Amino acid sequence: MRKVLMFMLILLVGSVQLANAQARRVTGVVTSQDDGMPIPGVTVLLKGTTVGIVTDMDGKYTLDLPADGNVLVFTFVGMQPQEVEINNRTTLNVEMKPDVVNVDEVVVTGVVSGTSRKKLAFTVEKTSGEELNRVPASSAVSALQGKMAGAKVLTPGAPGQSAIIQLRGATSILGSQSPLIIVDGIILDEGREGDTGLSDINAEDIESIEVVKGAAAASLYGSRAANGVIQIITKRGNEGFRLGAGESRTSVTIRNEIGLNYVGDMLPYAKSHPFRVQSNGDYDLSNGARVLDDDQIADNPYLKDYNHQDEIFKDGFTYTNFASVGHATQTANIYLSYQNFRDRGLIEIIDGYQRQNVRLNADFRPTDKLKFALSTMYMNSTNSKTPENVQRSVFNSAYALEPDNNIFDDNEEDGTAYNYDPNPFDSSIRNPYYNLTNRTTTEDRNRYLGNISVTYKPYDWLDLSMHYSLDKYDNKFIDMFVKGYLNSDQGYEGGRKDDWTTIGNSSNFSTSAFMHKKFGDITAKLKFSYLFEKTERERVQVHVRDFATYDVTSFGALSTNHRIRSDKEKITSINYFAIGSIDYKDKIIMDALIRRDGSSLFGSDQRWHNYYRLSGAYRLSQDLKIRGIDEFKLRASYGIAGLRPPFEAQYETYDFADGGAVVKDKIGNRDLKPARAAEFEAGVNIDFLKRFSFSFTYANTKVEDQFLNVPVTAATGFLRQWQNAATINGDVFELSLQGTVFKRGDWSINSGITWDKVTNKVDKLDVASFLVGPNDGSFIIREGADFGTIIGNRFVRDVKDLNANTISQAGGSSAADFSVNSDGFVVLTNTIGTTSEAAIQYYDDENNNIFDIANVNPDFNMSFHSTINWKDLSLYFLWDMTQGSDLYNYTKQRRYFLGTHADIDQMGKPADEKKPSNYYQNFYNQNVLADYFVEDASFIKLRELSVYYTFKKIKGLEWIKELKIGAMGRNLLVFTDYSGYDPEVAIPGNAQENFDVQDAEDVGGGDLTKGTQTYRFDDRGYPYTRSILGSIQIKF
Amino acid sequence: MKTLRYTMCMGLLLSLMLFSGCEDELNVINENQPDTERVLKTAEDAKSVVDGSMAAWFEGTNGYNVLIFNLAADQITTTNAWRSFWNFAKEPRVAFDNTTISREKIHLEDIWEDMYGAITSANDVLKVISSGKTDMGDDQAAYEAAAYFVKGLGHAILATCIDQAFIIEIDSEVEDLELKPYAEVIEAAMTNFDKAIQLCGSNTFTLNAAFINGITVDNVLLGQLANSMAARYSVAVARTASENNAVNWSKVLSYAQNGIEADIMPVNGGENSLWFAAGTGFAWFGPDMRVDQRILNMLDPNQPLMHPLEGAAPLVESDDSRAETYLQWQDNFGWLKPERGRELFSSYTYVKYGNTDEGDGVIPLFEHYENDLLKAEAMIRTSGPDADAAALINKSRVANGNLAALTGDESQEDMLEALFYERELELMLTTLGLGWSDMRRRDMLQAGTMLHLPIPAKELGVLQMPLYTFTPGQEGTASGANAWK
Repeated sequence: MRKVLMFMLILLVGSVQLANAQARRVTGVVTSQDDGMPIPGVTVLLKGTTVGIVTDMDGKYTLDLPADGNVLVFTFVGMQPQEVEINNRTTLNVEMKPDVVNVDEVVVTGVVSGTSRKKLAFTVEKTSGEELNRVPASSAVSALQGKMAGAKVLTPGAPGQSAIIQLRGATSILGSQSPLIIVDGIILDEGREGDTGLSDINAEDIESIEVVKGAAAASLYGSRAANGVIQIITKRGNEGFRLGAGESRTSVTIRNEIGLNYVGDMLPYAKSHPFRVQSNGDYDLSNGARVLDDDQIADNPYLKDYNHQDEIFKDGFTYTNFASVGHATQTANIYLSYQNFRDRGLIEIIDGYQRQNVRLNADFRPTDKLKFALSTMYMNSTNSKTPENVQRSVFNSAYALEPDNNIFDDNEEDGTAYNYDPNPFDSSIRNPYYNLTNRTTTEDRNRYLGNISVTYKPYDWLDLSMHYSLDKYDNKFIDMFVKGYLNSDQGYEGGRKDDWTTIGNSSNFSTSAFMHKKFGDITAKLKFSYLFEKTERERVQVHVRDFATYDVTSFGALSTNHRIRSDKEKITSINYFAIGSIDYKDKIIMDALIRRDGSSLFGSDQRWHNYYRLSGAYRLSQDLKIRGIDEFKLRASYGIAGLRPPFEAQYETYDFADGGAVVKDKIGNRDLKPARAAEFEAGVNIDFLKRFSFSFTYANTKVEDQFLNVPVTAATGFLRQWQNAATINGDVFELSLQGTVFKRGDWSINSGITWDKVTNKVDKLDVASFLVGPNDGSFIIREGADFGTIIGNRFVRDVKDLNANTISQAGGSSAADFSVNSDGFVVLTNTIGTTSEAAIQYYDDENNNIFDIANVNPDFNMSFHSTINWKDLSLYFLWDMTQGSDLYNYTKQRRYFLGTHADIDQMGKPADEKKPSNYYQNFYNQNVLADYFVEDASFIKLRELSVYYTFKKIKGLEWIKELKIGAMGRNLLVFTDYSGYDPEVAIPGNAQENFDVQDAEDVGGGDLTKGTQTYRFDDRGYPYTRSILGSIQIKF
Repeated sequence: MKTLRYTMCMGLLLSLMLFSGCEDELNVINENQPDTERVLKTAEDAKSVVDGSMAAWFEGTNGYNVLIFNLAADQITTTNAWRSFWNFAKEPRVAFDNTTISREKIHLEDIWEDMYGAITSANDVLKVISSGKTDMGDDQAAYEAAAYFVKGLGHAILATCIDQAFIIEIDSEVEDLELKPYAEVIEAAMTNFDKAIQLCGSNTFTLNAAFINGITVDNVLLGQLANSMAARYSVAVARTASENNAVNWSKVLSYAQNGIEADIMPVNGGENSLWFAAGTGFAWFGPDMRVDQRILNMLDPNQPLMHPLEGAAPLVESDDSRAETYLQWQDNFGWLKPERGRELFSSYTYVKYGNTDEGDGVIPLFEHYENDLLKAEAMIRTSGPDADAAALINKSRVANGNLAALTGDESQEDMLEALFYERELELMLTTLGLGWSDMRRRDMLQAGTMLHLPIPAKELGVLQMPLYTFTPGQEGTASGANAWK
């Protein structure tokens, strides 16, 4: 293998460096100051040249040096670099010290050029691939959760779903909250629905992830960056080593992982019903249908008890196979990897998700003035899923089916398996097994990411570069019902098929000139850049009904019952920017940026907008030496970034009705501007005792010119217009403390705490308040209201709340008519123990009964992680905590309506506390939201736990550099008062009202409020899973 | 050398920047949806806009919002709270919840927005015709007539259902529009109908097949239809019995005499088409929209006026054959919820129009029975009962119901009762508000039932007007003077 790679490299390289005439020889041993052991692999370079070598297995090196040059530079990852003057010595032994806190990480996102974290004037978080790989990450970014303050990452339970990320506070009322995602300089296309397809990228290729959270830092990315920026940097094959002339290094990694996903706790359900029964317990059907018992109390046991959740949710398995090869020489490096990933998901009948990735990265430096870099990735995935909008039909069935409904009976209509209407008293309740067996929903996806760049250094103070990148994908979504599909709704018996094909193509071209020079104590950097972006997306939908024969489902073979639709989006942008920084004596750093964006998404009279940033940092510790304090930095930054309106927002549009007729839709807006986020961020970083690092940040963000789809007077015939009509304001506090808590001998313990608090308010709203979010709108957007506020009715629990309006609305004449019942609710006293006992609602003095009943935003988030190492054994855990967040349990409200929620079951209650079924239907409140279903979703979770053992030297298998065996778990423990599956939910799809199958066109959605954390709402989604995995990794 | 290198680099960079991308690239056309300019560019386009406005009017008057008026008229009953249907069936009546966050706002918004969508589209075409911007050639008279017709329809619905509205004319400027009370809005509707009738009378033409789905509409048919619609809405707009008496019945008679002779039944385009009656289909579907006991009692006087609280009401036994053909008995109560009041239950669904949900069945635009009955009512109210009026009523009474024929010698009260019986049974669940307007113009609605709806809260927000609604016991709601119960 090595020989082949060498051959390839020779072909690539072509030129051979001629060393200058050797003048002297220096030798030595490099050891670790900690334990005196020699360190192999240390790079020894003659400063200012490329003459160098790497220490061997015994830490020894021998260098033949030219006549001039007096300083040798010793570098090794994890150690503090050393510069040693030769001074005519021929033997130079060096001791290296570990660089414990803040391996001098270099950040490349949002800055003029690679900058050490010590010198950043704003916050950029960086996580290494090593930290991310400690735990399973089917989605590349999910593992960021809990690692940095101010970043919230939710991983939905369904296989193949991308993580939903929110950095700091909400920046947008109706739009996407997703940050801009960049992979090796390729800006990912966010698709028509704001989904960047992060689930397409595998985690093992990641070298590091840099997260820029706010506009104060992200302004470099201009009008796309108000939600923050995440840059994923993949491996290049050199693993951070700098190699000397003639040196080469190959490394191979093979990793396999296998795991199990399961639902934590199933939800309890009612095992008794309120219907009249005969003496043997069967329903009394003498009236033709089921009738309520006289007392209407649900204490008649169902004669059978099928646990439908157990029938539907089965433990799912996942596995990952991964292999990569990296090879590096002084002038070139190459990285090639392959990953196969499978996630079966919790639903047995559905095949789940399968994905394959191939990556090739290569860098080539033929001379020290020229560099080429190539980064490419290809991905292919298939997802067999429960369709998003009917996902609730599968899960809804788990709740709607009564315990005595048998889903395994055959259909009496045609003898096929799984009785489609297993509830004899309500044919609208469907059999999930029937649905899943006779309906297939699949999504096939191909994606190609590529970036090629050239950098030319004509002078040592000037870098010229050019980049071209491409994000190309195609997506095919098919939703098909077989012919003969049983359903009492019409239109399915002949079979149906919907085929959505989406093709997207996003390409960027940029050039830049980067100048850097040191003038005395001042290091100045300046970069000019030009970026051209072009995105084209096309979507075609074909819908057919009534197949001619069974098993033939191609579009040619059938009826005239079909419909075809298509649409196209084209987006272009031209951006110019200039960014500079000045560094005075390494202690005062100033940074300024200006950027001008022109985009086809802005209204035609608003094509160009400017963005800028100004920031500064002062490293106090350079001037003031305080004992114990290694680093003390004060920083402040002010930056402006933007958010672009959706494609169709600026245009006046008519819709097409069947037959070609046109109908008015919305008015255009030539003055539509992008939203403008202005953020001020200030903070302090303190490193102390040589092993701890502390940071505190305060940020205030004001996002103006929110684009909203605003109603206009119907007299225009148009319904709405996109206008810039609101301002959101938010405050963020972030805190983090990490370091080495303990280190002695074979033991070391590294821990960290992060803490953050985010508040968001609608500062200004130029239109009337409106509802937004799931369930036809549950969250109120109102001037002055906190973001994330849910409105609804209130049930009365305290007799003090009995004002005149409440009393009369409840049918009473005075407060004396009421008392508090055994549940803690105020009811009319004379109804207690009767079938009309019902909690009453509160009306205020204006006779209004709609109030703010919940707020999904937490008081604060906190996480605590720790890595405990003992020799080659490593234990890692992460605890995540959210305090004070409300969650609306709409699933519970639906289960009240269906009569299957465990609360409705009165068996076992003392007779004077039993309540009739109507009492619970009253809480259902005709589907109007009520405070009864608001629950505290505070939680403490053991989010990640892993144990690894690393074998460094195996007798007989010395060619293996490292063998790592481990076990990991996610969400293993959850402590919460929340009664649903899990207190962390995000809505991945549209909310629909009907029980069963819908036109797949509803799946296409386009509702950007889905997939956000801003409008968290528990509505019968895919349960959050817990996982246990084992992995084995070999490096050689 | 150095300077040369330098200038070469800079030059390369600059030229690259200039070549790639020009300002023009930023002007992207929306290829998915047209705008007004493109939509009215040619004559063919303009005709398409008129067709679309008619389809939009039909869809807007046959959606789920149809049902709230039928519920208010106690023609159908329900306990279904989806889109707050239950609120319209509740007894005693409750006020219409006119806020931007109520669940029933959608019914009202649909009416308001769909009507203006249709009116303004038709008006846009009239504007380009009158300004000469688009040359319609020989089709000008045809589409002018069609556009006036649609404008008439749109204003008529607004006048019938809502207390005030904007009147849109060819020279209207949006900024200067003022709200007018319904009495003026219906005048504007009639003016539009008259213009259409006049153009139909003095020109010969045939409209596109798309104008009314599946029906060839020529100037004769359009003229008749405009007359029938004018008759219908002159009457439907009356809020109370006294307003009903004040209607110009001789004018109604002359409209009806020039009205349609055969049913106008557009082809059902299915659920994705604008030519679809979602409301009727929903009621046919059955689990929770049932025929109210009032109608059952009308057919069979032994039926209770309110459904019993225990068990089911007895089967309907009636001399009228339509009890078998237009109604269907269900053996269960579907999704009706006992805890919401069994007095709202019923075991019957209305199936005259068949299964329209599936794209089968018929969806009426105007049935000839309606025209006949308008004629009959106008005759009775202008010159008293006579054999001609009786003959018109007998058309459905005898042919469909197999009931004893009227002679014309009955009292005015009896004739009118028989006439409204026919209207109720034959025209239930068709176009927006018909059954409800029949009840309101006889003062027969339950006390507190809405007599009309307010302007939607969404629009009030845009117009910066305070929110308002009509509360039982106050003006805008039925007094219950002649309430059926």
